[in-house]
Amino acid sequence: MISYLWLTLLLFALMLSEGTVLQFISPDAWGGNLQMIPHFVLVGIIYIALYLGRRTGLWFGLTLGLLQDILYSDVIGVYAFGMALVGYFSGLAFKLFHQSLLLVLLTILLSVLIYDLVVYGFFTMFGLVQTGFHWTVMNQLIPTLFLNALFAVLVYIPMGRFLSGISIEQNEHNF
Amino acid sequence: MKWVFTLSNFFANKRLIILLSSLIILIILMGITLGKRENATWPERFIRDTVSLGQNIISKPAYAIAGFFERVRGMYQIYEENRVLKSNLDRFAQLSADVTRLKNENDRLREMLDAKSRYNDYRLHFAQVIGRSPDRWNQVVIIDLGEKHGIKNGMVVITSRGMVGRVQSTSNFSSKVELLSDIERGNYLSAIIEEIQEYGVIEGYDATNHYLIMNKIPMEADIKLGQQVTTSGLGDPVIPPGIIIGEVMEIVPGEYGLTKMAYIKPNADFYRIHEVFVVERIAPEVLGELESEDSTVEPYIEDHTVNSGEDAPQGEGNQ
Repeated sequence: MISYLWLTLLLFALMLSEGTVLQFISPDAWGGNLQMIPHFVLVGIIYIALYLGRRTGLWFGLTLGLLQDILYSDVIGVYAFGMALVGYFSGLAFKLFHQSLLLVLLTILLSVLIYDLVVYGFFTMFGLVQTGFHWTVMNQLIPTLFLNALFAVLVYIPMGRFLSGISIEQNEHNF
Repeated sequence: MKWVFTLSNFFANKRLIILLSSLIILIILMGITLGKRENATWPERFIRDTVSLGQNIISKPAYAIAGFFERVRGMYQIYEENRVLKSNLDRFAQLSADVTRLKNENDRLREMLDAKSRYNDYRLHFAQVIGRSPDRWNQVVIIDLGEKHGIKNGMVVITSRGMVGRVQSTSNFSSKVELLSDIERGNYLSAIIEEIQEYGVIEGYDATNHYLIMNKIPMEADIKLGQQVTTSGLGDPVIPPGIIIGEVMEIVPGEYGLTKMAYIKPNADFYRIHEVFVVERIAPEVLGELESEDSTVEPYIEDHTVNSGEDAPQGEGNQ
């Protein structure tokens, strides 16, 4: 349980830093036209789903997504749904294969893509976003994928150690 | 497990049912929260206030460090800047003398006209940005002032260079500011092109070249590139007139060919916002706004005479 608290705190800190110190990452903050959006919380949730099961991923996704909704968005539910969806299904994907860096990377790329498309789709449907699809894909989705894949590779080893530690602890507790 | 897809299987598939029902819940939830809400609910306010503590702790030192580096970089430009500023300062003396003279003249003329002096004064609240929406779907920043400091929904937020947005919702110790680059449907801003006194509505943002879209400008308006656009002060009583928004960059025919549309380059930088001012308008009387708006556009003078006839006794009664 203590380790779950640490995990929550870690993700919460990531979420806070996404909104504050990580703003400088995106090139459009410096006058460029590309938007690299850090979805590091999402990457964390996918790792959780991969190591601790899809249910855990679902709950973490739902909670943090709801938090993001309340903090930054005017309508409630989009981020919560997107993160919970991705948390659940990335855990599902992992059941089919064995664990390897390549698989993790592929899952994360696909999940981030799906998440972005879901969020974009809902906001467009409700008329809250007016950027064109082609422009969004070229200027936002693809650079965002690169950034988050890079982050995923960077934290692969520490995150894996931390989470497999929790996973083992959990199993000992169960037996 | 068989993956044959029949109707009975469809209902037996718990996962799919859950997914579909959560989609429905999501759409209902979005539908409920979509409209313009006057006040955030208490759980939202509680969460935002709690998180704003953490945001304060993280962002203030971070911006202090960033500010230090910017200052170091800025030192190289100081000499050049100093020269330019000094020459500007000479002009400033002349300008401020002019302003005083005009203000006095204005006062005198108003007195002669027996009009009450109603300047559209405003008070500025200094605020620090403590957070920003990580993605670009919601162009929202969070500032460290809230209802306890007198911030209300709809107040204009500016940087030293011009308007950046409006307060969207407040909680006790923090508030959410919707930037101009996040203009949503039904959330428009009345603006005026100062030099020709023509009104228009800012109702969109072109993310591809970072221009604001100003629509519904009269066809006969004599717009030229580079003219200044400011808030008009009409519409929302919280917004004072004369706050700089940007300058005209491009003029095209409007949607139905009956009006003109202009692309406005915003003066303020929407990306690196660290310190802002919240503008509190000090003109509580509705009467005062209509009257002091401007004297060049005819319909408003008409309005003013009608209004002052009706409301003047009431206004005096309040004082």
